[in-house]
Amino acid sequence: MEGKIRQILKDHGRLSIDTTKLAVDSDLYQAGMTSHASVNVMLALEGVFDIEFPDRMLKRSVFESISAILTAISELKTN
Amino acid sequence: MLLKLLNLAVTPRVAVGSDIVWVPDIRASVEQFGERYLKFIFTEKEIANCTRNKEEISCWGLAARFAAKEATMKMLRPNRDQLLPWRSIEVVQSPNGAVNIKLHAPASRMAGAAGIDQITLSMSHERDYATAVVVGMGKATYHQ
Repeated sequence: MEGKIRQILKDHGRLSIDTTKLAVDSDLYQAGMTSHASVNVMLALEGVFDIEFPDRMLKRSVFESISAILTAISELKTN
Repeated sequence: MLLKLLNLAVTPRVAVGSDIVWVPDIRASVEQFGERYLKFIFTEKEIANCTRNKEEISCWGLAARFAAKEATMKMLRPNRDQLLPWRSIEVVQSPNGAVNIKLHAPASRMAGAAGIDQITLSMSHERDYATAVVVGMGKATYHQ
């Protein structure tokens, strides 16, 4: 799952850092992800993982790091 | 005069936000994610205002509106755990073409809590860039 997330961040996140070198708790916004890029990341995550982020999860904090994204997806996949 | 007598100063509440968007980014998102992208960010009226000949979407118009929404978010300054859906900030257009910001919940509540009760918007676009500036004003606060 982490590998797919890194690939999505590489394709859509517009990060200034090599996504393979990102620590899981690195701040993605500080790494260059803009608000618009975070929208594309969210839509790509929904497509790849066949999930839909509920309104309550559409907060900056949910997409701020690889670990935060992993937690959110794991929760959605479990429920 | 009374304020001077009471030795009070008046500080109007003013907040500003701005943003610039690269139009090809918007175009790429529309092409890749289509309706999901459009309906996540924009209201039906915003999409209609950017649609020519009932089909052709103006990505410049969308980009300017995205910049306006982002500028408004910067003006409101939500924290990382606050929900602020893109569609709760709407760019409304009058028949003469003038645009402004209309807030819906929860953005409207956030503005109220920040003491902002008037918002003014200016948008522009040139070639591959669109930009917006938003100024929020509110009731003056009095202090010594």
